Amino acid sequence: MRAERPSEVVIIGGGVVGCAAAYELARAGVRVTVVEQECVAYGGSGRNGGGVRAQWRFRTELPWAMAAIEIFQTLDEELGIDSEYRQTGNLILAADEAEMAEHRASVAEQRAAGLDTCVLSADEVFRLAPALNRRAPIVGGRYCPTDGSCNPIAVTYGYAHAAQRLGARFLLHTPVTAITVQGGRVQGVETPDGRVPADLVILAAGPWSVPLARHVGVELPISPHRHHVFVTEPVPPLMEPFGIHLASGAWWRQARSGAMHVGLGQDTPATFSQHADPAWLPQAARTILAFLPALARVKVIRCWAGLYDVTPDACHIVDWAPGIDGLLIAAGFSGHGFALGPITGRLLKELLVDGHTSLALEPFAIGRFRSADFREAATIL
Amino acid sequence: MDDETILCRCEELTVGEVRAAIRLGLRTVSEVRRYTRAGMGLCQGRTCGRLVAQLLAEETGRPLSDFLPATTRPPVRPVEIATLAGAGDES
Repeated sequence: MRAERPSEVVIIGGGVVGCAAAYELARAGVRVTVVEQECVAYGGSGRNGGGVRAQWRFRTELPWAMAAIEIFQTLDEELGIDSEYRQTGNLILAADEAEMAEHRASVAEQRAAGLDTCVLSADEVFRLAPALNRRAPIVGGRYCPTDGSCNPIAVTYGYAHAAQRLGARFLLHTPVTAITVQGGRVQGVETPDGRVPADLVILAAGPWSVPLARHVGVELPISPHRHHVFVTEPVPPLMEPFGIHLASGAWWRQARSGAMHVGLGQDTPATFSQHADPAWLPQAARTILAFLPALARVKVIRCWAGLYDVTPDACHIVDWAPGIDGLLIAAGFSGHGFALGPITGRLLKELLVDGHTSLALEPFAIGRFRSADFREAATIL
Repeated sequence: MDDETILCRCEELTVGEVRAAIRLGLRTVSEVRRYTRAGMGLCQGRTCGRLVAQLLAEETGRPLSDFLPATTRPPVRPVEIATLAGAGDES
């Protein structure tokens, strides 16, 4: 923990969190260098589904998600990009009455917090999305019209390029081999090209944060899990909202080009491999056909995989590393990092430059995993 | 290559647009694909992948072999979802 404004910041990781933080800090006049082992958006920021959702977020995350959506609404103008961001709505489909009861409770709570979200009957679901199979396991659902999606690569590059225009330095294809700490204070980071000095280091390297933190004696309870996505050739408008079916773990969205993006959550052993396994495709194909039979003759053109950096409660860590002055952790976003990236970047800047944040960081403290009332997440969405 | 020439037909990108992206600092075929979307369409870069590599070689002054082969993603050819699902063909 530190009070004074940093003079030289190094951000480890060129994902959306790192690039948004670099942009916000550079805009506030802070000298900042992003060090990235591959290229901008190489990890989860370039491999996720592009969903920007507030409904069905954890209670602690909801204010972050709502603030992020406010940023997304004017982000293209702010960064000078075309991110394909659209508020198409988000439709979560329930498979049974027990799920509906959970949604009724959550909708009431989220509406009280100011989110426009509502419960839908099965008839209302099929009216909203007529392409859905009436024989699919759907008893109803919930809908949030202000949720949507965009092209996550365009957003991440948008932040990176805007940050560079403001003077931020990007060292790409440059792995950080170690965070340098002397006398309990951060001194910078080591790379194969030499040391990059800093009085403040933000560790925003997704699952790759874990070995770097461990090297300086900080254990991050983050585990890497691989998720796949496939994309089809463009098809005429089929379904407007981003669709999620919790019971099967499936999600889908139609991009502006008409291409359908389809994901299917699976329990897989922890891995750092982002290699796409084509053996995943048949199960994903069968699942999406159960919901959108009109896709039967549509061609899959590509599939890829990326990593979720999952914590025990499926919420991120934004906190000072215990025992090290000047090391700030922003990792463990558990699959929520893209949508929360813009607000995370802004809050990191508020913390470092303004000395106070507009949203509470306490729920995301690293110490929470050891507290007596800590509870693990039941589902990871 | 002329800036006006169409480099990627699927995503309708010109040589000039891809060259401008490379000048922003992109250094691999995969970065260029992800940023510009060249090679992300139906043909998955079978037509333009080599041209992107050539532009990268030209702009960076490095040998073409540094940029090839580019990563390919499964399935290697477009496949119908019903075929992948093993649902059979009724026709």
